[in-house]
Amino acid sequence: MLAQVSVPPEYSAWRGEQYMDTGWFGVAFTLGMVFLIAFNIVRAHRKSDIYIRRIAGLNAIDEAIGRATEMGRPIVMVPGIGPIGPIVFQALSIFASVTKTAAQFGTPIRLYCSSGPVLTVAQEIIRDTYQTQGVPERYDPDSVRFLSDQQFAFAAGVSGLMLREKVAAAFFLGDFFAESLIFAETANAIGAIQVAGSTQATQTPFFIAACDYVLIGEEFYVASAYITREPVLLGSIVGQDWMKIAVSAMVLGGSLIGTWQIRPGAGRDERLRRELMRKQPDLQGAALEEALRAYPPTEAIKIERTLGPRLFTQDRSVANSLKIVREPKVKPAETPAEAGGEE
Amino acid sequence: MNFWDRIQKVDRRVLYLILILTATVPLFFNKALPNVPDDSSESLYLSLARLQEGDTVIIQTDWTNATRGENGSHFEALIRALIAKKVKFALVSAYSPLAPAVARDVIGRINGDLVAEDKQPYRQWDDWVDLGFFPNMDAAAIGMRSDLRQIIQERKETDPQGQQRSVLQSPVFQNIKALGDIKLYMVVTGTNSINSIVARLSGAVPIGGMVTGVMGPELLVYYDAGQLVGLANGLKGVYDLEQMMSEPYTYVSKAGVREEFEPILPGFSGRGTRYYLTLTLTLILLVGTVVIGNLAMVFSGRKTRRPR
Amino acid sequence: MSLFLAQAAQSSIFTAPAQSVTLWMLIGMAFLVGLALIAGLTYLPTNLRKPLIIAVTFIGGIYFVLYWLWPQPIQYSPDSRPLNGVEKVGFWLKGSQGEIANIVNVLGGFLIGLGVYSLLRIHLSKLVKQQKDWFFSAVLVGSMVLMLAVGFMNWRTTLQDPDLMFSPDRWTSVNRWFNLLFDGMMQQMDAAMFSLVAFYIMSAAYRAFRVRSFESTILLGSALIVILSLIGLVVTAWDNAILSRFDSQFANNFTLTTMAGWLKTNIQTSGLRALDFGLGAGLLAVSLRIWLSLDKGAVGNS
Repeated sequence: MLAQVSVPPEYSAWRGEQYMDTGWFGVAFTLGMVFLIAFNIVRAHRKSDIYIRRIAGLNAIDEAIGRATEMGRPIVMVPGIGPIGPIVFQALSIFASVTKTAAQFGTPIRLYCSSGPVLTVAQEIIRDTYQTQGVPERYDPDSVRFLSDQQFAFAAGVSGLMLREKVAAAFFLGDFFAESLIFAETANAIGAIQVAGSTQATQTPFFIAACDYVLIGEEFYVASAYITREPVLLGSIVGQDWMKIAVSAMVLGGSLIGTWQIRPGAGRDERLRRELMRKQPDLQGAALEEALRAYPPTEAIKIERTLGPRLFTQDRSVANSLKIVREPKVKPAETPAEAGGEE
Repeated sequence: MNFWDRIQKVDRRVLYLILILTATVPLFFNKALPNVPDDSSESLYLSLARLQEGDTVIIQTDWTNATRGENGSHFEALIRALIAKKVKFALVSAYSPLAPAVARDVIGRINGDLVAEDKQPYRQWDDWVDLGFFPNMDAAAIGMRSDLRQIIQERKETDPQGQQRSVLQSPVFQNIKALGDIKLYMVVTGTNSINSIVARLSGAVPIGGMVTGVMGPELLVYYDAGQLVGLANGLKGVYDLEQMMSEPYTYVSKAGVREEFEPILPGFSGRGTRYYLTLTLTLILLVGTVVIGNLAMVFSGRKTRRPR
Repeated sequence: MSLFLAQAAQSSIFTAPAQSVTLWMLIGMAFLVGLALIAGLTYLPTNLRKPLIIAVTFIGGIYFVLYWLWPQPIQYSPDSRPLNGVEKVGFWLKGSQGEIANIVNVLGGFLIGLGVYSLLRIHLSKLVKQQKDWFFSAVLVGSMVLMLAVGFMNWRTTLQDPDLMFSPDRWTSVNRWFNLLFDGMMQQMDAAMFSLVAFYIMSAAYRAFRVRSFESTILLGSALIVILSLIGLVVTAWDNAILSRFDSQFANNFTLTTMAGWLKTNIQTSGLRALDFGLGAGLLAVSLRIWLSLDKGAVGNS
């Protein structure tokens, strides 16, 4: 039996409308961005002389390790308190390069994690780094630790350990929230060099106020390319730059189009005003505005007009009022009276 | 060593002691101060004031005791306003499994106050429901956008007869067919959990934010772009709202249209009012120390630079 | 027949009824399969490990890519048949989401176990060997065990009576202990830790806002305007002083409200937008590299 779909003629059951659910433009834009990155990664394999500007925070890494080695005190690293994901991986790959240098000089390291999955991955990576440097015996399994998955318990733990172990250098890279300042100020109080970077834009100012070197915004993502100069990473940095150029062009184009749309006498509001004035020519001033508020041709525009241009309304109730009739997967049982009942 | 040298060398513990006193002593005084509401708070107030009796609002409550000072005050003001306007609401949480319990505590306390004033308490099931904790809010939000009823149909509440039934059968969701029927989606949060709501639901439902002072600046971006209909930013946001809600309010739009609102909570003075004095004094202390620090740097004998 | 089908559709390890024989059988089978899998992975030759990791990462990634991008079925219900091919995939994605989330949760649970193991190993050995700061380790282990025990007993009491925690008059000593440890201690210490930020902001601001250079002077000036705009007393006094003296549109530009508003909407939000775009671009690039295993860095090698 074919399923019946009763749908108003202007809507299709699944085409179009459903793409609007996820926002087809967003999807298309994302795919475009992915293409830019992929294209540049391929391109970078052929072109090796890609220039990245100097980033002070990353140059400071060696300085910080050097100081810790001189003083014979540990380096502390925290990959943020976010869940396992790209941000943590990025932070860990920067920490791997820090550990590489530290392993060569025998500088002790401490890596504190706030979740089990992060701990597992971090232990793998740090152990691997010591092995590839040819000094597996210098790897201390206790140097990578899980403290707590509670935000402030973790903050208290890290601060306490930094104070007791008198660390010489601190790297805070990843997803940091309200605890960022607690870390940074504690490290500052014991005179450690701090290199920090948060993917949370609101926490960057706190790091800037309290830390010696700060990776701002996407500098965090550029770090591993800057340190390792791998073609894949360099290519993806170029791809990111192209993305930003595309976004900037869109912002510029959007502002120009938007300005054109709101030129005097244009726009839907103006059209409605003219329409209303044609229908009721005696309305003027505030009375006209009042009548205009109560003159919405459609529900969507009514909402948009009450809330101002802040809201772009897609009338979802239309899509949800569709009657879609599908066959049931399993036919309902013919409810045999107390079948097999053991009473 | 002159006076400014001594200021330069002041122990930071002295500074901390002054801060403790400034932050705690004013809590014992309840003094309303003059205030000019922020533009974003005013927009939020308008979207609350325009709600009608019987409308349904979803509140995403993503705060626990750590941000109680700000978010607790936001939440309390919001709930009191919704109760006064007889607007039905549903709670959801995405940030912490503890959040629903903390929110229910506040509603319980407000109901206690209502009973003490001989008013009808706001009843769970009839007037509000708790949809509980959603571990993957991003997915839930996408689902809500395509089919709200399907996402929440599994959530159960106890009806007055003591039976566990789907929240869809409660009066709160009686007239709700899709997300578009929800009049306002409020997010009370101290985290960035509001970002995924803006990303997933913007355009489908009006979204309002009540956030901590730290989150505020980042979210102004969304308010500015129209993705949030209003934003109460930190304690100042609570005080703005409480002040606007306690008095008759007239809003004049740019086109010259006047809208007059009766006070939602006549003469109300809540936590925002009580904490605002503290906020004012600590900010004055902050400005004062910054100014004195700079003067000391200029006038003291040794002009040290912070080593870089 | 139809009864059997209805039964069959339900019996997965996540949906089988509690305490039933089916569930125990499924758990046993899952355990055996898990053991076999671990053994297989352990004895897998090293040169096969990398392709396996790449494949698993790719398959895991593509599920979520499709989950976000594939058209979502409208009015999905798990017991109905899809209309066509597109819906079929949409149904499969939606239907399996719960189980995939469960798998992720179970994995997360095991990994938390590893975290706790690492924590206990470090602190118990410190305790046994009476190393430096062993007292702190004792406090940590003691509070962990206490919280676990009381939390578990409290959970047992709430199993029969879900609303117990909201009616203190029916509490037993276990519930009171739990309340003391959780609400009375943990939550309060959490809030206390957060409130420390106030002190740190004070000392950080004291050091950062100095007139040292042209840039830091601009920073100080704009910070002062924004801070003052939060103080209602100052705002009303300043704005009134300006507007009562100079009655012009131009003077309005110098009220605190206008200046702070201009700084926030024109400088701060545009700066943050630029930061957010950059971060988004970076995140997308890193995610793509991880998903396609393009990273030759530490993560890709391990």
